[in-house]
Amino acid sequence: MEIVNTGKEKNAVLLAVKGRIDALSAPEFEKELVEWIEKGETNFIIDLGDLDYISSAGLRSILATAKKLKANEGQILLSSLKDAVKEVFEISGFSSIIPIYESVETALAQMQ
Amino acid sequence: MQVHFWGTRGSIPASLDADSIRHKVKAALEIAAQKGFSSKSDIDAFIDNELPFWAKGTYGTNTSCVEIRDGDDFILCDAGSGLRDFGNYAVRTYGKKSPTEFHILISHLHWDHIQGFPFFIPAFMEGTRITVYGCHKDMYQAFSVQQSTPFFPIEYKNLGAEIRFIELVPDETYDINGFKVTAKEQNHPGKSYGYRIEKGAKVVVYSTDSEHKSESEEDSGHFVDFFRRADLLIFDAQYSLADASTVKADWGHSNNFIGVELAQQAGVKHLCLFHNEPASSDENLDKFLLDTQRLASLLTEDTALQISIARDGMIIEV
Repeated sequence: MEIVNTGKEKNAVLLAVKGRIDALSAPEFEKELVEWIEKGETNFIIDLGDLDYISSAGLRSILATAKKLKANEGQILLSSLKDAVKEVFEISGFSSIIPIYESVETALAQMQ
Repeated sequence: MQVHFWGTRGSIPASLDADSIRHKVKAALEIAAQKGFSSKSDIDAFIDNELPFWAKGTYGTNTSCVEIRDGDDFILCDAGSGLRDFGNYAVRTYGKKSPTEFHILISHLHWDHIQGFPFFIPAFMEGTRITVYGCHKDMYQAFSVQQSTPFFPIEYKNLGAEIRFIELVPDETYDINGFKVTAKEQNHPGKSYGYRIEKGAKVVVYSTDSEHKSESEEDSGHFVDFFRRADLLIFDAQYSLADASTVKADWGHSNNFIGVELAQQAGVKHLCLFHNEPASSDENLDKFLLDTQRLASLLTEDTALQISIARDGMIIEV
């Protein structure tokens, strides 16, 4: 898994995650997001266009981050999912918990 | 071995009401309206081949009870309301005058896993011997209290059968009626125990009422060993991952997602989703199975894992 910061727009940190979020990499994902949160950031748009695989641990790590942000009146939006990854979100029921957008631009348009 | 599911619902017997039946009949007629039938065999073929399972059948209403049989030898897993149907079958098969032996493994003492015992006809018959195995210390108390005033009209002490309770030690292997049985502690309120049941080269794992938080090594790695190369894994998949991670977290049950992950890691041949959510309709359970099969194909290109969902009356040859 690789996490890249691609900028900040409309008060939202833009991140792109590549590769896999599984039981091995999920703690690293969560840790990096917590570091951003501890710096005072509360809004994130995560581009998953290059994410190939996400396990249940990966989904839970996104949910754990979303819960932390909600407590700080922040939010996490996902964008650009590949079809297979999007289907995993739908089957798991996570697509009804975490907002998903077609692109970073449409996610930005929804950012409060 | 043969695995016969007598009860497959989680938590409480799930009623099938008139509205649900009407929904099935309407769906069947809507599909049938596009057909023409010239014979009764046409109708049978239509029902068998063209109606979805939910519209022509039901996953059933009984709580947990699974019979594992090898020839004349058998053991039962749990004594939910499915035990009543098994008992009636046993009386029909063995006859009222034939004393016989029953061996019952108990995962834990929550009511949905013991509530069938007061309706287990062989327990009322003198000459029957029943041995109940489990890792909880208070098995006798739970069985006797649920069958006492004011909960039940016939007191436990008046049962005709000879009933013994044997406490097992987790991770030890026992010979029970010809089967090698190993219990494992699971994450559930008040603890529950799964059973790895082996005979010859065949392995069935009965693992219900067990909450897995993550497929990570530290959380569930030891379960991968417990499930290793099972021919059949009967797995608590009461919830979706979303429900198990939010509103139903820490309720002591798992989900279909982690069931697939652990089964794939363990090289299981056949994963059977079990402890079906009582609030799920037959139509929802049909979809739950299809979604789980699709999920398995998305998580790995190895399509060797067979996936089914338990229903009352289902028999799986192992």
